[in-house]
Amino acid sequence: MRKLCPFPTLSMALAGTWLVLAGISPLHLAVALLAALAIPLSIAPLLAMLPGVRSLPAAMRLVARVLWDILIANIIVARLVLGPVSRLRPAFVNVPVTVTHPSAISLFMSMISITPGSIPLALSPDARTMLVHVLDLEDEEAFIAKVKERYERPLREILEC
Amino acid sequence: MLLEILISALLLVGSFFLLVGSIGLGRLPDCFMRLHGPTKSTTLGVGGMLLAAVLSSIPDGLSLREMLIALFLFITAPVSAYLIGQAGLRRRLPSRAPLPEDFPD
Repeated sequence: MRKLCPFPTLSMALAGTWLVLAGISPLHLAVALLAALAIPLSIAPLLAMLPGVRSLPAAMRLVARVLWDILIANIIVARLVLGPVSRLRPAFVNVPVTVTHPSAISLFMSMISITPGSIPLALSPDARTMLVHVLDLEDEEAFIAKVKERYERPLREILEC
Repeated sequence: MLLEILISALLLVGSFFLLVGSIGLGRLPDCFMRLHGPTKSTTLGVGGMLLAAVLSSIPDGLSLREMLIALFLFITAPVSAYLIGQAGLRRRLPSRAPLPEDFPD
């Protein structure tokens, strides 16, 4: 069993995604089963690099937090965009990165990117600093502290890395 | 009835944020600031539209396909923003925020 289906969570997610996309019928059940077995096996070397998830509830809470931040930040950015453009204070900020696993860094950057008002644009070669463009920066220290506390710390707690 | 009001509200909210994203694209002065408009407002804009689509499917069997669109969008949007930003940095496009002097890439 372990050999045939080494990543059960991913297999279930793949099958579930296919059934949601294609609808439930005997044919699609067969396709979903095939995808759930074949895809993880074909990308096994890549998957072996992924960090494990320590706590699923904590991961869910982080997802909920990011969704909530998207909602709030969209409203803030809408106000900024519709208000006087000359009053915006755009800035490049160097955010120190302490998570080291590539997946964790990638998730950290993605979360900063989808919450409005800030976009990561580059990562230093040693992966210790990322360059973030902020649309309206009030306080650099506070911004850095906020993203690290809200996104990076939970990531470090959730991922085994 | 209640469902229709909810769907309409979501459509309005979604279109509002999509409009704001486009206005941002037009109004903001440089490439890096413009990135914020469309990449961001679309998260809530498209999110509202897709949620409305899911709700409108309730009478004839709930369809969750739309949630997958949101998922894929959230996964891919940061990548395109990153690529455009990288291109802007390398070409040293004009920017209101002072460009970092020598950010190694």
